[in-house]
Amino acid sequence: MSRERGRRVAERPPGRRPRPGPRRRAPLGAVLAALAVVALTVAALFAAGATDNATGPRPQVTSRLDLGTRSFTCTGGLPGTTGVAGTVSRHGTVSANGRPLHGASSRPSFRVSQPVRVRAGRAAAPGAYAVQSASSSRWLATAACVEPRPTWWFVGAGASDRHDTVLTVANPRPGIAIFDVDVSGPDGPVNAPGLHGLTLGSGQTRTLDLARLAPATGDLAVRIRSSRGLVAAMAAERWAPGLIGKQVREWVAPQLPPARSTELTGLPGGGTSTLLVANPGVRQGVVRLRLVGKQGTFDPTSHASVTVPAGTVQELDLSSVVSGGTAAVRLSANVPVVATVRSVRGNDEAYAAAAEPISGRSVVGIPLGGRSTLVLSSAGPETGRHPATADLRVSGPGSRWLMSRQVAVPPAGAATVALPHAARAVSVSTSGGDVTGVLVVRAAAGIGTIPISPSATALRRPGVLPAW
Amino acid sequence: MKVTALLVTHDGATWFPGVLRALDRSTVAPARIVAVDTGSTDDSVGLVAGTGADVVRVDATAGYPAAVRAGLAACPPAEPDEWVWLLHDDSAPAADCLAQLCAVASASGEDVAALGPKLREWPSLRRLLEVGVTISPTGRRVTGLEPGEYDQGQHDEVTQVLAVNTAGMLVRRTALERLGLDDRLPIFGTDIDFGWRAARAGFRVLAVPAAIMFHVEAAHRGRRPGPLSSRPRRDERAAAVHVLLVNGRAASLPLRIVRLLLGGLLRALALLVVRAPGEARDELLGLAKVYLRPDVLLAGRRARRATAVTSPGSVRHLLAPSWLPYRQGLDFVTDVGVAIGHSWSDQARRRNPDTGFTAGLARSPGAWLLLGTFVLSLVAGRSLLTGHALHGGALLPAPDGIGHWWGSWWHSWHWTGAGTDAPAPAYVLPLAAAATVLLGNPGWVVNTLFILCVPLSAFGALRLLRKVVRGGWPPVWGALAYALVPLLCGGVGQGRLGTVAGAVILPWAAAAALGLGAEDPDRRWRAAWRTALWAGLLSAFAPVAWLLDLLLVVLAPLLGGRRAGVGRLAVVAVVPLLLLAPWAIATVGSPGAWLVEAGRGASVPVLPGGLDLLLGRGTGPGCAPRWLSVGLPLAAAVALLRRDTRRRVLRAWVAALAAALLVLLTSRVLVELPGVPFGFRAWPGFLVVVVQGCFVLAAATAADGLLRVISTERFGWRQPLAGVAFVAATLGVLAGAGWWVFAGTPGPLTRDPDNVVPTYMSELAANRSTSAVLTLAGDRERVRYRLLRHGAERLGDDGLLALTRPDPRLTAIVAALLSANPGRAATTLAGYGVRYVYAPAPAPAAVTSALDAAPGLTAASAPRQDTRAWQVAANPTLRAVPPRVGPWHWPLLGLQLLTVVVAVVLALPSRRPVR
Repeated sequence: MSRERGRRVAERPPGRRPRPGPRRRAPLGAVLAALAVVALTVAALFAAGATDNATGPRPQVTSRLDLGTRSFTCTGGLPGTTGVAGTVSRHGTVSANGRPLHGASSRPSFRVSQPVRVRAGRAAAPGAYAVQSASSSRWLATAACVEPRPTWWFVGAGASDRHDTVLTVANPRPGIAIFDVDVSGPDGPVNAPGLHGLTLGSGQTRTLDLARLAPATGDLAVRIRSSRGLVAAMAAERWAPGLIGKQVREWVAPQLPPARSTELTGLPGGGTSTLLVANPGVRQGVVRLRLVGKQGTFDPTSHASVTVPAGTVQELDLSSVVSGGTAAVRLSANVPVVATVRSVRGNDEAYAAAAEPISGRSVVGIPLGGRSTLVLSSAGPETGRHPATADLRVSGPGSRWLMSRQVAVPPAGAATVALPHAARAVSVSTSGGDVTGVLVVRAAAGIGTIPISPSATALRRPGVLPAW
Repeated sequence: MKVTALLVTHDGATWFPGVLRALDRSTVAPARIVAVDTGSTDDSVGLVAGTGADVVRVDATAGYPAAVRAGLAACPPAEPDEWVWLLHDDSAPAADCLAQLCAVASASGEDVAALGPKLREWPSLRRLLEVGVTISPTGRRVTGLEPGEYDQGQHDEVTQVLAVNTAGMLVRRTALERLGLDDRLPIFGTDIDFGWRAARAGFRVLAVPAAIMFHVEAAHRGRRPGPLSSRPRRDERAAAVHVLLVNGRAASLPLRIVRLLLGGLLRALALLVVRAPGEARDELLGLAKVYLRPDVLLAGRRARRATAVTSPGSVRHLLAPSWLPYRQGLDFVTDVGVAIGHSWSDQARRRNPDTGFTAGLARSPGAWLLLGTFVLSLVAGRSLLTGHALHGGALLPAPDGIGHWWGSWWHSWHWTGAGTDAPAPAYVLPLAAAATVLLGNPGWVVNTLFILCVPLSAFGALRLLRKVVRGGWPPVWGALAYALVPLLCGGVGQGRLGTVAGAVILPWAAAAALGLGAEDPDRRWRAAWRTALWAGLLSAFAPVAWLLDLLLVVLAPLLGGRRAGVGRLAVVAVVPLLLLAPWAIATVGSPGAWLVEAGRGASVPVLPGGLDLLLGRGTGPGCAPRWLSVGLPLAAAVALLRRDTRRRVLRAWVAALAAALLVLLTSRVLVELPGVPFGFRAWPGFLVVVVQGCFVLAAATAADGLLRVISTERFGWRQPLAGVAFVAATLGVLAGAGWWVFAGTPGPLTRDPDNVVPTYMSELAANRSTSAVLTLAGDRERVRYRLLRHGAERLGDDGLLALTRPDPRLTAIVAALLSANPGRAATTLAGYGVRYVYAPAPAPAAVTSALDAAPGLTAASAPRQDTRAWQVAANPTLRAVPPRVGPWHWPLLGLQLLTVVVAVVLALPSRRPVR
């Protein structure tokens, strides 16, 4: 106890904290203001986060179709080659080596002793066609005149004395082209040092004799690939089928790039048929084949598959399985392959070609001589599909339509249409499924085939816009 | 020896009685006292008359030499060995002064013309004023003494000097009458000129320290008004220049003329910079007074040639050494540095009064924070420490030299792309200045900003928080929390230069704005200009900062700026716009550009949600997980519970609200810029940093002394909440720092080489505008082209290109080039200065096939796989891009420079004016 002003006061024990005073209430306005500021801030941030897109609509620039001119190269290479070119379009001109081809004459044809450049102007380009044919008493050869592409495949070429192929490569475009030629045979790639980095100026043509530049035995696969620019190439071969047979001349049909499934059309039937398969990859390939006829697709009783080691060309004799009714051979493999079927009847041979499904309106010209038949086969699945329809228009002299009809192509089957004698070109468009077509020309000397390729009249040019 | 005292008086009634008393006490009385009165208006006349001396009256406009002449004329003719003792009416001799002088005079030879006493300050402190005087090459009076030096007997030998002050000079009468005093120097410089002429005439002038005189230096310090000393500074400078020019060697006269002129101009400029225009004007008037009267100079030199006996070089050992002005400049610089160092150590000592500077530094948590974040920056930025130029996301690589940035800012026509007359973005000027300071290395500026973003931001934030909060730990926590924000929100990882630079500069602007509430009105004005400068720098990197600035100026009363005043707020609001003048004018057509930060807009499109914005995340690559920063908004909200700091915390929240409103504006507006083909929403990074910074400020303010407050209050629901918030905030900061170190710097920011074009193309294009590269990239549907004129695009080009509409002719030419009939497209391309066309990997087939066949293009070497290159055959010219000069460019550039100079001058601290 201590004395404080006379009164006794209890001393506060040490350690206890002083009791806090009564708490004053904060003014209501300040509390509300604080709450309001906090709430507004949070609300503003959440409202700011409620946007839906970070950028506005991007400018729409799309590609456009550029209807340019077309140029075909009729390469020749066989004795007596004649070219036929024209257009089914109403307007426009087609010229061969600068000389216009008039439609008034019975057949606008020209001799192809040297490679001829056929040019179709803008108006004529959508319906332009150019084909070449050569014949003798014993053989008939037909081929479409080629347009420039970056890659060409030929299967069935030869580079020996008895079987020799001559490649004709042309560069019809402005600007130079640089290309390589790779040859592979039954034993793998063929060493050909002089066939790489070849240069072609604009309008130039080059002829490459494989027997001299890449000698090899057996059937070969040739790939021409341009590293710069585009080239137009064709292979003309000379072949003696038997030990003492006369020579056969033919153009080796250009093939599509290697694919896992291929449809080879243009089998004339009869004679001998040999399947040649090239495997350009690095894995061994197993190729199964099926046959497409008028009634459908079915497996052959024998020779149903062939094994092709990597980098080689193998052959399979299909004479026993391919009959006259076979329209096409369908291949499916585990690796991309390129294949053809060489049919020999008498002294004439024909190569089947893989064709792309017809899209848009494709036009194929009808060469001189012989009777032409159009074979359409559908490549769809076998069951449960409606038949595809092909709309045919056959044009004759004076740009008249000689024939115009619809043809039904049974699913996984084929349809054949005989074409009138005066027909100059056939224009085909299909609907309801993938349909490939081939023109088969029969003459006394032999058989020739021309596959129908999709029209490449309109090129897609990309839209241009500045980058950001 | 006979001594006549000559006393010149002018309105010296204040000190005159003292002088008379001292004279009375003198041990050796002069034989005669002559008083010359130069038109005094006070009662010094009466005082003089009362002493019994001879009084001579002269006109008020007569100067000192005329007065002395009049006084001598009133004396009887000169006797041999007669000495005149000149006195001023504010100089009082010591009792034995005359005795000492006479003793030395009689002991020395005939060649001694004058002797002078040691001058000490009056009233009788022991501070030395002069012991003889000389002149420096720049015209300054050099006494050889330290300012304020105390007399401790350190200068007590009789020495020969150039001159002695006329106050107390004992001069031989024959010498005085022969040499005379120059009439052109009525007040200042008389003594030095006399001494110099005496030395040239073969005499010696001695300083006798044993004789002591007390002097007021009235005219020099402006305490004596009069017709002759209305502008003492001007007259002093004029006198100094006159003395130097009229007395020096003839051979060095031209050099001296130029040197004095330049020196005077520089000094006037420096005085203008420190806001002393009156003194600068006096400096220039003094120069003009001498330089505009060459006839006076020539007459003076002629007169001196008449009396000179020795060569001019014989005087040199009496003049001040020629290196003296540089030594004085060096002394000034070191004084400033020492003053700054002392102020730092004082601040440190205030916090820890018992420790020394280094010990205090070692114990200061702020120093450890900065050191720690610096080291952690190097660890976290380990992938960015070496390599090529830093780029990625919204950041373009820095140019190789500073010429690119200076040229961008200076020129009105830029060859970037297809040529543009858009103004350079505003941030180019500060970057160029920073790169120049860093020895011309633009890459260092960018690398420092990005790699050391956290320590730099922490430094500024620490400084700001120490001004606002008194405690030790809350500023450290706040600085770290703030410094991590630009990193965690993805600004560093995405290369957002605006956010990073804005985060570094923002605390300095806020600290300057605090000065708007200072007591002294002059300091408030300085603070206003400083805030305007920092706000302008901030707006250069993030133009939305100016909008925030405007909003905060409007809300100033709510933020405690009631004392600021309308004028100062107007300065803070308007001057930043003037600092951005050349760029701002170009945004008139596209106002959305104010929302877009520095860097390539719309390069990393992000869409932050509400929770992301609240937690300080901008989303996108390089962004930290959201939950790391939950503690910060929570702590800021809980900070409002504390009553005594509620007002300040509420202010921080109001600022956060202003920034949040701007975030809302940014998110609603779809920015359309001429050069960007699509509308986009601007990245709100800088505003997010501002919001989080306000949260930090709020939490740190409330955290100050928190423990004490918690323990004294009654236990309720607030304490646990505060504890939870405290723990969450602290852990969040530590977790954020941990994420930073372990994640490195994720995001598109990188130092890998950017292979935009092959090296040989960029090397050829580096110094030429006619070696541009057209790059084409895309697929068969669309192809995008870019015209790169000087190699890859550099930092600064992004703003230019964003404000430039793409040339439709160029688009048409590229489309023609890719079409079936290119025609002469390649030749037209050469008119744009394009030499190469390049398709980077993977080169689309549509492009390669078209360009392979196009006439006018030949193959060029493309070293990388899957790329293609072509060379334009025609000779590239610049015919298709004629330069255009906008009419606004030069006036706005001048306005910007003028504003910078004016703002810097007005933002410097005031100094006490020298009278």
